[in-house]
Amino acid sequence: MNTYWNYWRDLFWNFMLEPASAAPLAALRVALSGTLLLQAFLMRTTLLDLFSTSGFIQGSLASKLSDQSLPRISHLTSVLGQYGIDETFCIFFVCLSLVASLVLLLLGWHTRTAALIAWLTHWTLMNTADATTYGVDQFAHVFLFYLIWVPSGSIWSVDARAPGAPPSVSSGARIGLRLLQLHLCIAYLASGLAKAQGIQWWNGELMWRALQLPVYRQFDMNWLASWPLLSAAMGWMQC
Amino acid sequence: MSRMPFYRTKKLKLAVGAVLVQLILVIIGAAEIELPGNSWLVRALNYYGDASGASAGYGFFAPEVTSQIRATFDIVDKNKRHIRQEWKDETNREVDLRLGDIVEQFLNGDEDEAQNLQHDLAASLSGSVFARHPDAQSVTMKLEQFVPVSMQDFRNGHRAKWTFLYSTTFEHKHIVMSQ
Repeated sequence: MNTYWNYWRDLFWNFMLEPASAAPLAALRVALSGTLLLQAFLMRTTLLDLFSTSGFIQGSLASKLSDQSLPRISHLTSVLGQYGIDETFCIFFVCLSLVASLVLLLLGWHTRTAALIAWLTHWTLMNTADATTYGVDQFAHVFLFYLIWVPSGSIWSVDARAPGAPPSVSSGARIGLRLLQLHLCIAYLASGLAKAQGIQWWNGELMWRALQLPVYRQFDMNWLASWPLLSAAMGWMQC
Repeated sequence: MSRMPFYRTKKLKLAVGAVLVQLILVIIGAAEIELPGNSWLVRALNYYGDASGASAGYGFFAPEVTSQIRATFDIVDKNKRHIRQEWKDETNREVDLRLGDIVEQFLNGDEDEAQNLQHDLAASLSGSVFARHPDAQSVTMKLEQFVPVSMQDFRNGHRAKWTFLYSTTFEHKHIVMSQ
């Protein structure tokens, strides 16, 4: 009995702690910060429309559409407003802080601090324009939070070149890797189970209907109506 | 292949414990389970769930694809000219996705608050249209829904089309200062 217990215990600790390379974590850091910088570039002309109280979501409506207890630009405005600083300044300050921290994260310079600032500013912007967020924002928020804690800067970074830098292979990297892997497993499992409850995912209607919606209609897919089994198989594979 | 040696230090064990707690919260969030009660612990866990993203749900496109809605604006300027504008950005996919998310809000809210929310949203979006067209006298927002037909119906000759959902008009009021 004791041997059996020891076997599973050792297996668990090996699974969680056996030193691993931080390269996958660094790849996530570079890919995520690069993607968010590209996103910021694409949104550069609509910042005030998205985040200002005189933009798309005006006045008190924003408070109806999101949780007021979470950090928002309006909180910053109400504090700094008494010093004559207006909402526009606050929006640009938060957005520029996000961009600057993403650049540092991309380079891996003061990586964890950069991740902390990027996570906080990204979360603030998400809460401010809650009605406009989608899946990419949600995953970016999760990954930025994890980058504060995992050693993603111990390889492919400016930090890794500093004297006394931590090793690129470590138990910490393994823990971070397992956290990300298991989180994604849970996300995919939950997503698959939620989809499996819908009949459209089984009978082929979902792929057909999704491809008929103008927002996803890139090509003429009307021929798919004559191939319901093919449409069903596409749904099963996604599910 | 030989395993690399490592030590189970207290710090590492604590980190593993924190990871397990985080993953439990991720499971609770993914299963869309609401923590019971309103104690400080539940409030703290909910706040932490939002901060870490652990409370996120992952039911994208689940359980089914229903419909798409679109908003169009009929703007009448001071010369009585009509300008039709769709609530979208054809040049920027990233912005267009977010504009679509805003319009999707029209379908949210329970029955009691849906009407108020729809009116507030329509006023808000029309307000931003007024801001882009300073000479606009009135803005009529029309909401339409596209519900795809089934494969069987399509084979039988039916076709999906945009159908009317909601419409409202806002007029520009001139404010006259009295002496």
